[in-house]
Amino acid sequence: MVKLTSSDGESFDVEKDVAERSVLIKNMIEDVGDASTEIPIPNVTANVLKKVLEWCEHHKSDPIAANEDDTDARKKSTDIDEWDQKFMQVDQEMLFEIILAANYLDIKALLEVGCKTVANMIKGKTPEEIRRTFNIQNDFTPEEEAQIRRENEWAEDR
Amino acid sequence: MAAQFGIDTWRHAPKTVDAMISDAHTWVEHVQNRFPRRPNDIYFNYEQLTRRMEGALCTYQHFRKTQFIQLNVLYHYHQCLVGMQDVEKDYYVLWLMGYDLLGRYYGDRLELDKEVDIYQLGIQNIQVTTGPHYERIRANLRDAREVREARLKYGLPGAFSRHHRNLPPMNEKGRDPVNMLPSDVVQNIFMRLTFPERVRLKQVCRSWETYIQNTPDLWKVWDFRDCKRPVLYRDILNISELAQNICYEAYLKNILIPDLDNALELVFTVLETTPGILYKLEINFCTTVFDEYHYFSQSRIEGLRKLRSLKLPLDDSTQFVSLFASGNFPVLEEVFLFGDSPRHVETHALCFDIPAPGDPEFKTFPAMKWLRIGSQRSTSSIQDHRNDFIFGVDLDKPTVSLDPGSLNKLVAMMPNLESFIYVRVKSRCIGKDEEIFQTRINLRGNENLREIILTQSILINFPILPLNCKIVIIDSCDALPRVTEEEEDTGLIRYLAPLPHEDPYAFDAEEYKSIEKFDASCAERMTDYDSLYLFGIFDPETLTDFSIRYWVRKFTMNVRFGDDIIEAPRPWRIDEPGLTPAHYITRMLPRLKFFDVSCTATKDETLRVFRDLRDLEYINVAGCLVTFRGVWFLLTGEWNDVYSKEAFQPPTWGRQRWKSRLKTIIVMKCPKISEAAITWLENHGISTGRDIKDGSLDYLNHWKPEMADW
Repeated sequence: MVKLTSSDGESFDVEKDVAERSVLIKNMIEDVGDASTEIPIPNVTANVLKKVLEWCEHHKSDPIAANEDDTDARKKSTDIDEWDQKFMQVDQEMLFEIILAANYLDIKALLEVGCKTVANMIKGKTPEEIRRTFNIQNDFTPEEEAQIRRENEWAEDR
Repeated sequence: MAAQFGIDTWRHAPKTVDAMISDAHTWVEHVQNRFPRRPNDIYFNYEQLTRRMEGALCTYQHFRKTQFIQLNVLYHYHQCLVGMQDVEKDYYVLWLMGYDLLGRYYGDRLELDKEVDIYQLGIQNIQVTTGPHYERIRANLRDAREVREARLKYGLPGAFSRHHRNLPPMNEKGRDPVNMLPSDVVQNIFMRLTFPERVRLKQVCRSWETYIQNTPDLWKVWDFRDCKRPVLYRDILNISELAQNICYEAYLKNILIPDLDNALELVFTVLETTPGILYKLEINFCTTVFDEYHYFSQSRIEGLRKLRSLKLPLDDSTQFVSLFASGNFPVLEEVFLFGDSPRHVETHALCFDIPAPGDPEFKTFPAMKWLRIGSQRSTSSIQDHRNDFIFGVDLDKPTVSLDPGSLNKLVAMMPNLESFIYVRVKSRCIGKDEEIFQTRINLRGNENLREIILTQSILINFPILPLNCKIVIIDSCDALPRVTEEEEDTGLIRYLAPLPHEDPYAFDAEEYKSIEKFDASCAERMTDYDSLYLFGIFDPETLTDFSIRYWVRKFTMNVRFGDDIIEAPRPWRIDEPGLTPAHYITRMLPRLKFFDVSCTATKDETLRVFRDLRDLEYINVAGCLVTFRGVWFLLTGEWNDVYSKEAFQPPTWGRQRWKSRLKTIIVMKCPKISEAAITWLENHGISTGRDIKDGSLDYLNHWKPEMADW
């Protein structure tokens, strides 16, 4: 068992192989050499860490992807398996927190799922729909917007 | 050159209308002169002409005979139609309005594109009465009228359709990912979008625009495959700026034809200055009229020397091949010449003028590993391609054929070729061309070949498979390899196993060992392939000098044969009475894992195979009664009274040895197999498919076996 402490001071006892889904924690355990020490996770709050650990628990027996060659096809792929889809049904605040935590903790597969989720939120949407999805103010003047659209006419989706 | 007709000229130069028309005329004339043998087939792709120009162009006499016109973004079509229509009655017209293709008239076929976005307003005024597909066009136009109203309501063309959608309410809890997330994560997200989608993100807000403008890594793969509108030269120029003049992969599709020349020039210049190696270039204009378009002028060659992978229409490959032969692509590893063209069908074969082995000019290119010619699928994934062959592919579209002499010279230049895929579709060559097709494909020099896939090809009389081949798929070819006397002398013939005794079923462990021993002597000469698929071979009975035994090797694990092969004893050179190819296969392939024969026979002779195949994981033999370790199975097909003699009982011996291997036996339409046998199988984790009943064909069609080592 490994003891992880979130930024807001809450402790989590997790199995070693669950915690080691995170390359950061894995390296820390190796550095310390003693799995019983408490490991602080200063950038992640308890509610996010709980969620991340839930994911790690479910995926603990997945084969760890070897140094994946970043092919374009893989990058582009936006398929997410069912469990992960459900797991990612959270509000955007939490979604981005999970992505940030995965990035910080170096959990590649979780980061992938997070990025895919966000990409799917963008896919097939018009700029206006994207703004509405992410609550973004349109700070272009109508002329500027028309100008940008004109310049990139070839990329229009119809 | 075509570039004179480039959109920039039209849009920005303050020319008079008349001058522009004369430009267009020059261009049309140029096309006519350059491609005299196909004057009726003109691809015409232009944007935003004025009404007057269109009228003028369309009354231009060349167009009256044009059978195939593709018009892009044509707003003022009326005049056009009027101009075209009243003179001749035999042309076909394609209307492409707005930005998407409505459909494409070709010959007597009308192919409608999947997604039709029509705002051909006022189209009811058109009288399309000359073509055979009037009704069909009319049906489409009816939709168009509705769309027109929508357009008028919302103003701008091109923008109307998205106003139909109800915008979602503002998401109060939404967070801007570009502000929330680190730059590399945002890049990770954006890279998952298609290229044009990524470009459109600029319109979202200033911070997104800034991010996109300042992240060159988003733009180093120039992929125009997903574009729905024509791409112009200046658009590529913009991308080049965004990418800071770096390009690792370029997929040039949907480029406006008149801009093609400039676009290629730009891409090749950028390739030249990009540090390192360019991995891929794909040029894909499926319906371009420019036969033998000069993609590779002398000035461009420098940029191409770094090319690792190239994909090009086969029609246009002649120039590439001669450049390749003279050594201009030193690091090229992968070539895909695809033949989707509807043009050179039936009798026309493409010949390459390149040196043959022995010629002082002949060079070899050790880097080349992967050669693929002529599938109509433009997928680049080899897995997809294999699936095409395993699970069936629609082979209706014609492709270009290739003179096998040229092909032999080409493969001779590639001694290290690892994968060779040649798909030729449908047509057989007729008339005097038949002679050239007698040439064999000679792959004996390519000893590193791991994979050969040939379909619908009449020219695979190559003698013996290369020694190291792992995957062989032959589909619908009308001849299998012939063995010449010379080859009979090489000793390979010794590979054929003698049949040790008369009873083909008495196949015991001792015999198993003896075959192993026998084959050991051949191991130096031959390695074995994992997969052998043979389908649709025409008339195997006539192949007297051919023996399929050459093809079946001891370590082959996956086998799929058509029933023509499985039921014809002659190609197998089986003289012993009562012995069938099926017996032979099971004896010669003790390592068989996967056996699939699309055979409908219920003959007694095809029964009782598989008894001792210890590694078998999958059996599908339609209509065969087989015995496996003492249990009998009827595999698909109708019930036959012959079977009732057999006892469908669970095995009484040997279960431990095989139960861990065999995973699937398909047992269908088999009312008399004993419940006990089936229950026993299921208890041992073997899928029997007995719940399928009458849906058996469906089941087979959708059933995808796990392929070993694929």
